[in-house]
Amino acid sequence: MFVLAEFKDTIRVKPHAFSKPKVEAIEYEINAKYANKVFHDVGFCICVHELVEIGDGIVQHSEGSVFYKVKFRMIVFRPFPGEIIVGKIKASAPDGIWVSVGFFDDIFIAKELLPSPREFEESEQVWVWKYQGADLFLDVGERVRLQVQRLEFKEVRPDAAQGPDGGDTLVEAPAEVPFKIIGDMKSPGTGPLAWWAQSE
Amino acid sequence: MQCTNPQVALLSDFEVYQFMSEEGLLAPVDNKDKNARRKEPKSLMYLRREVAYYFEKINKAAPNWTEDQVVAFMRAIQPFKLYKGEKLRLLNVRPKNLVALLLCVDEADERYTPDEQAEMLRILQETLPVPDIEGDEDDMAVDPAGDEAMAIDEY
Repeated sequence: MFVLAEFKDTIRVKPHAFSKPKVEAIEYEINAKYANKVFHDVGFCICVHELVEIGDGIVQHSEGSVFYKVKFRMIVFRPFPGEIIVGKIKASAPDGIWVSVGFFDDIFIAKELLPSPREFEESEQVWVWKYQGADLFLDVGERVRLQVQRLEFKEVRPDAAQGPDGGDTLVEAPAEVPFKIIGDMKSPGTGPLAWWAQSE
Repeated sequence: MQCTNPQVALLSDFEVYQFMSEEGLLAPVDNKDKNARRKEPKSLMYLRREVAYYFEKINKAAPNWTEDQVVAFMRAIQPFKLYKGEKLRLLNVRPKNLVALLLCVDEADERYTPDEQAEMLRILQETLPVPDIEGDEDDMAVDPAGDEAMAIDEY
């Protein structure tokens, strides 16, 4: 699910951090800038792994911070197509199921990629697999396995979450996530772990 | 801001777990430590709690392993000449039965005999132990923050 990715960036260390050792200060700034964020076409950044190269610190004439050109490697969450992920069902909707791995929530299984024959129970808002006469529920909180079909990256503008009045209304726009994983739960072995539980 | 190489290497869940726990990123945040805020930016503090959640509630097997065990697994599975992605799937999914194994190995029935498939399961069982507590009954919470809020009440 994770890769090691290499980046190049100019990192700014402010004067209050000068007492910290250089590597610690730079890693702090990189984590502040990248951790918990999506880097377009690369993945969801977790944390710094190591600094590969640090350039000489440059001070600008207008302020006191030191700027370093840094080459570094980060742990990034980016599954490969075909990978098998285990997560928990976060929400069910008429068009499919959303799965979460705790730190990343935008994993979507379209209803066509759920085991069939299937039915959406409106009253309980849950998907059901009708297997050989039995009703097997895909409940929220269930641990499930899914296979990654593809990754979708979208350039999202920072003000995409604001309503048309540009004010306080937060518009729920699930299609506007910067990084979405499309998954499949049709293959045998995918779906709730409990369905396939007996060991041999 | 530039990504010079989006894939220097693939990392298994185990390797990420090992790295982050060595860096102290998977231990719970010490609320009494006034210097904690200086050491970690907010974005990381928030994220690492959720990554810890993943290793506690979703992938429960990897945190129990040692590097020696994983190396032993890689050595033992080597004769089967699996692709890198398949070995990664086996490490992350840690199949316990045939169905899960067939999910990890492409076209397993064409490439391996039933005996060889059973052998792969046996290797997994011997080199990479899985904790027996796989029950989901108390595990229905999805929100990591929700879990932590409950833990704090126990003080």
